This record gives sequence, structure tokens and C-alpha cells, in this order.
Amino acid sequence: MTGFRLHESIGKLIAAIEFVGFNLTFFPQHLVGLKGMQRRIADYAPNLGWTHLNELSTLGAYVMAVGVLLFLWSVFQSFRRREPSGDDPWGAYTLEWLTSSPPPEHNFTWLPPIRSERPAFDWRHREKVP
Amino acid sequence: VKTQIKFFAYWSAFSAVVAGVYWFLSYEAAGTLFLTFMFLAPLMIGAYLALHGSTRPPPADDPGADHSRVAGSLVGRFSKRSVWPLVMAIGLAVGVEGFVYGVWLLVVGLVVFALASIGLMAESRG
Repeated sequence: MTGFRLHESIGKLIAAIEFVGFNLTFFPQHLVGLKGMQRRIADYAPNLGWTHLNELSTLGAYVMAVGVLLFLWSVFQSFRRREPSGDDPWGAYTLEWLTSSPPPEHNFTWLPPIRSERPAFDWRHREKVP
Repeated sequence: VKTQIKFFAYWSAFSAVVAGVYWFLSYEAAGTLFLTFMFLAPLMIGAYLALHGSTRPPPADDPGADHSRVAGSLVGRFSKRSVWPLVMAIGLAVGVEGFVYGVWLLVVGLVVFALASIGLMAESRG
């Protein structure tokens, strides 16, 4: 989209943080639901036994927020480093990776040939693929 | 195949942990059963790949594999300019109108749509 490459290790770290944060946020919600808490209520009496599980969910939401902040920082860093990503940094197979990065207006200025379910792969290795 | 086996093994292990934690925190049968299936399904695929993946190894496992082995088979060509997608869209639009104005319009739409499909197929073979 921007044409700048994001840091790969930070990306993996963000994925791990989001994975932990997501499960920490939503897993306790199953349990409070079983304890009788309805969806979309603003507050509840303190003696219902829902507090600690909801606190865990809040903690999970903060963990996810850390992941999002890290992502924004990573995007900011990519603008500072200005390392060009190239058109297809991950060696992907599908059509959207056949255009340039950043893409031109209307995405394609030429019609990409499609000969299989992996058009980008075929085009990249067109000399070797019969 | 190794990457796929690892992927399904991690997925299965994670589901097993979640199923265990869920059961001991809730003692609720329906959710635990669902989570158990979430553990068994990837285990089944992973075990199949581990047992039979080596009989037909994908090109990714072979360091000497050629690009042509990974490339898919030819599915046909798409012409640069074609009128048939437009005809197809008209057929579809007319056909859908049939739900409002009467079934006869649906038949007309489907016929136009079918003709456009045949035209598009003939074009991609040529």
C-alpha cells in the first residue's frame, strides 16, 4: 500500500501479542456468560462473582492495545526507514501481488495472464514454466 | 509437508489446552465437546499428513524440484476484450427481475446467461 516494508520480527511479535491478548480478552467472557452475565451491560452488582473474570478480559484488551500501538510504531518506523518493499515481498501466488507497489490508479495497467490458480507464481517464473 | 504437520500439530495442541482449561473452569459439556472437536479435527489432518504425506511428497519438500512442478495445469485463457461478461450481467439482471415481474422473465434471463456462459467458454478455448 505504501511501498515501504514493515519490520518482519516486530510483525511476528505483534502477532504473538495479539494472539495472547485476544484469547485473554474473550476466553473469560465464555465463563462469565455461564455465570449468568448477559451481553452488553454497562455495570453489575459486585456480589455476582463476575468481577475477576471481567478484570482478566480488561487486561487482555490492554494487551491487544499494546499490540496495536506497536503496529502503529512499526508503520511509523517503516516511513522513517523508507526501505522499499518491492512488488511482491512474500513471493505470493495470487493476482493482487502482480501489480506494482504502491499500485497505480485502477490497480492494473496491463491484463495479467491467468493460466492456473497461481498466476503470480507462473508469471514470475514464466521462462521455466511451460 | 513438515510445515503443514507442524501447523496442524500446534493448532491441535492449542485446542486441547483450551478444551481442558474450559472444562475444568466451567464443567459445561456442550462447549467442551465443541472444543474437543476443534482439537480432533486438526489432529486428524495432521496425523494423515504425518502418516501418508511422504508417499506423495509435494514439490516444496524436494530441494531439486523444478518450477514447472509447482505450477498448476492450464485452466484456459481470458481474452483481453470480451462482450460476454456484459451479456452475462444483463442476463443475470433480467433473470433477477423475474422474481418481481414473473417467472417468464427468469427463463429469458437464464437463457441469455447460459448463452453468455457458452460464449465465454468458447472464447477462452480459442
